[in-house]
Amino acid sequence: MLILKRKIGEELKINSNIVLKVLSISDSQVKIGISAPNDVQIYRSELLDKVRTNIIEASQKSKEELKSLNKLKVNTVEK
Amino acid sequence: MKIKNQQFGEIEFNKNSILKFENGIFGFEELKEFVLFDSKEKIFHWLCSISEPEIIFPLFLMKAIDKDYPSEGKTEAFGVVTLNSDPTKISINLKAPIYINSQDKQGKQVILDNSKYPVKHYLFVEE
Repeated sequence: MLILKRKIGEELKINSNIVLKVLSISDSQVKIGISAPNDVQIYRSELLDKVRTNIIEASQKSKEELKSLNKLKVNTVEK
Repeated sequence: MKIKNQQFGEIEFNKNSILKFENGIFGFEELKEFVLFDSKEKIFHWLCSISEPEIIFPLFLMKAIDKDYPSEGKTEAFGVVTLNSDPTKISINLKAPIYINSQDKQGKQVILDNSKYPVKHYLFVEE
């Protein structure tokens, strides 16, 4: 892993079109601004891992037998 | 064209109906081509990989769960469903919708930056 020190307000460039900027630092958190083209996917790693795990589980359970859905209704999202 | 899958047997489809997922599906980034079809139970749509036909996902229309679900251009938003032998434990991923454009046959999956939509939302509740 490449490790670099940066101060508040300083930037890093990845290729010619992605810029990471350190916006603020507190005790245990750093706020980062990212400028990148629209087709670059940027996600929080732990969320991406959670989604991947869920989709893999969905593919593994796709053969589960469907029991009758009588007396059930779709659980709509509340306002 | 035809593919074969343990669950549905032979699946026939037209070459023009192949959906292209440039970035694949999360967890299956290497799979780029899928076919979408309905089954006789008429509840779910099924998204099946053409190169790996055993990889298949039940999908459910997001607008049936939330009529205000974020849309994207001329696409239809679907959620990936995790089946369960207990129907009240069947869940849908509202966090990572699959957007399919049936006109240009492009599909993509994204992760929404919105805490309203969980990865696991129980799809059915008792009336």
